[in-house]
Amino acid sequence: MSVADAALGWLDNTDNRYIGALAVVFALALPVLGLGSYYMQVFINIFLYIALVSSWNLIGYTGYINFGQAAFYGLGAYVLGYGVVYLGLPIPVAVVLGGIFAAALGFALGTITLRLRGHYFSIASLMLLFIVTVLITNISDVIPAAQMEIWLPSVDLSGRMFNTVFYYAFLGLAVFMLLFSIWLENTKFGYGLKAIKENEDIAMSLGVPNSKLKTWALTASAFFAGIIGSVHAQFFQYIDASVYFAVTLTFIIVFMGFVGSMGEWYGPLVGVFLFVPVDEALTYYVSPEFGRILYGLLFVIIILAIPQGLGRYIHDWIDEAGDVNTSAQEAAIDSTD
Amino acid sequence: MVDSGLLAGAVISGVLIGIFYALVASGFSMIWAAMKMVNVSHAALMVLAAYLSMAFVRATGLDVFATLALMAPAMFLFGGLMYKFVLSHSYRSEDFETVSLVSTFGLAIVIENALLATWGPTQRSLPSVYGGDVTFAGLTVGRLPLISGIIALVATGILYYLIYQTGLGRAVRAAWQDETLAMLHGVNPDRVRFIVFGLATALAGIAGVLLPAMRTINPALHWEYIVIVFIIVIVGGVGSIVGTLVTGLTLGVIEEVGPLFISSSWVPVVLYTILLVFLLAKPDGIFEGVA
Repeated sequence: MSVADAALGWLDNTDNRYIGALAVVFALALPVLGLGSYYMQVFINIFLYIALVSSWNLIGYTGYINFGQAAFYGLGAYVLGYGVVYLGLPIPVAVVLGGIFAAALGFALGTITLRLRGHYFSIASLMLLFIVTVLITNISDVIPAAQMEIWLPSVDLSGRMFNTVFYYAFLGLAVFMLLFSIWLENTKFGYGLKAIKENEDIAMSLGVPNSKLKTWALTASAFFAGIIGSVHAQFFQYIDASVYFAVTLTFIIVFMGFVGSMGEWYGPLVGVFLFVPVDEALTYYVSPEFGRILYGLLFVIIILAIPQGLGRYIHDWIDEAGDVNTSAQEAAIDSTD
Repeated sequence: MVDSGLLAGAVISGVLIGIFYALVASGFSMIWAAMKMVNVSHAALMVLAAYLSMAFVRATGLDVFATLALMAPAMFLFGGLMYKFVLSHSYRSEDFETVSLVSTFGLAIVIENALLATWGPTQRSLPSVYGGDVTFAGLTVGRLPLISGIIALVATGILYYLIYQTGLGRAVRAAWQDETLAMLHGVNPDRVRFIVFGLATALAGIAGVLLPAMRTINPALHWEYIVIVFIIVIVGGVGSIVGTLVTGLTLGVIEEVGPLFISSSWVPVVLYTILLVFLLAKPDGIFEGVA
C-alpha cells in the first residue's frame, strides 16, 4: 500500500475524531505561558510515558508482552551519558547512537526469543532487564573509566526555559509516536503484526513472515525507547541504574500499555491518563507503595476480567453507542424470534 | 593456583547454597510443569514468608524449627487461596500461559510493595542461635548453612516422595501428562492445581524461613531469586526434580567457586550466558520432566 493510500486510509477511518482531538490538545499545549513548573513537570511525565508506552506498544501489536522495555530506555540514556561525558560527542549524535544501541539490543533479544512462544518471550524480556542492569553495574570492570552513575554537565538555561524546551521535546516525541502508530496500523507491516496477534499459526500459514515481523517490531520498539531515553537523560541530567532500569518503571510501562489496550494506537493515551493523575495523587496523599499495590491489583483484575484492555473496551462501547442502527437491528432480530 | 582448602570450602558452600536454590526452584518448577504457569511471584512469596517468620521469631522468640512447622502449612494455605481466588481464573482464557505469567507478575509487585509499606526498604537480618562453625574431616562449614542445607534436602526429599510414592502424587502426575485423560480417571484438575500451588508455596515458605538466617533481606530481593530459579528450571528441565537439584547445585558451586578464579562481578555474566545458550539451543533443559 502506498503512503498516499495509507494516509487516505486513516483519514477515512472513524478514528479521525480522535485525531481531531489530538490536534486540539496540541493547540492547547501551546500556551505554556501560564503553566506552573510543577504542572509542566507533570505534563513532561505524561508526554514521556505516552511516547514510551507507544514504543512498547509496537511489539504489543503482535500480542507479545515485553517486560523489559526499561532496558532499551535505560540503554539509550546510558549511551547518551557515556557519549557526551566520556567521548565528548555532540548531543544529536549521542541521541541517535542511543537509539541504535537500543535497537541492536532489541534485535538481539528478538532473534533469540521470538522463535519461542509468547510467555517465553515475556519472561526472557524481564531477564534481559536484569542482565543489562548487572552488566551496567559492573561496567567499570570492562571500561575502567566508566561509572555506573553519570552526571551530565549543567546547561546554560534558566529553569523555566529548560522545562519549556523539554516540555515541547517530549510533546513532540509523544505526538510523533502516536502518529507513527496510526500510520503503522494501516501498512502491510501493521496488518501482519495484527494477524500475528489474532492467531500466529494461521498467520504463518497465510504467508505472514512471523519471525521477521516480530523481530523488526521489537527492534523498532527498542530504537524509539532508546531515543526517548537519550532525550530524558538530558532532562533528568542524572543517569543511574536505579532510575532507568527500575523494575517499577518497566512494570508501569506494561501496566499503562496493557490496561490502555495493547495493539491500539490510543492504548497508551488511555493508560497514561489513567495512571499519571492517580499516581500523583496517591504518592502525595498516601504513599508510593500504596499506589503500586493498587496498580498491581488492578493489573491482575484487568488481565483476568477485561483482557482486551480498558482502551478497547471503552472504544467499542463508544462505537456501539454511535451506531444508530444497533438498537433498531436488535429490535428487528428480537421480533423475529 | 588456588589454595585447595579454600577451594574445598567454596565447593561445600556452593553445594549448600545450591541445595537452597534447588528448594526454591522445585516449587517453581512444579507449578510450571503441572499447571503450565510461570509463577513470577514464587520468590516474592518466599520473601514474604521470610519477613513473616522474622516478625514471628521477634515476637515469640521461638526458633527456626518451630517457625517452619507453622510457616509451611500457613504458606500452603496462602498459596492455595491465592490460586483459588485469583490465579484459577486465568485458566478460562485461551492464552492462559501468558495470562497467568502476567498476573503473577502483578501479584509479585503487590507483595513487594506490601512488604515495603509494612517494613520499609532497609536491609534486615536475624541474628541466630545457630551461628558459628562446625568442623569435620578437616573442613569448616558454617553451622547455619549446614542446617539450611539439610532442611532443604529433607524438604526436597519429602516432595519427591509425595510426587512419586503417593496416590496424590499419581494424580498430580496424571494431570501433568494428560489432563483430559486424567479427568476421565476421576482426577479433578482444579483440585490438583490447588494442591500443587499450595505445596509449591509451602516449599517457598520453608525457603523463606531459612533465608533471613543466611543473609540480609529486603523487599526487592525476590527479583534476584526469580532470575536464579528461572535459570535453574530452563537449564535443568521443567518438572524434573533431579534436574532442579543438579542444576541448583551446579549454580551454587559456580557462584561460590567462580570468584576464586574470575572477578566476582563476572559470575552473573557466566550464568546469563549459560541461560542464553540454553534458550537458543535447548529450551527444554537437560533433564526430562516427569515421565
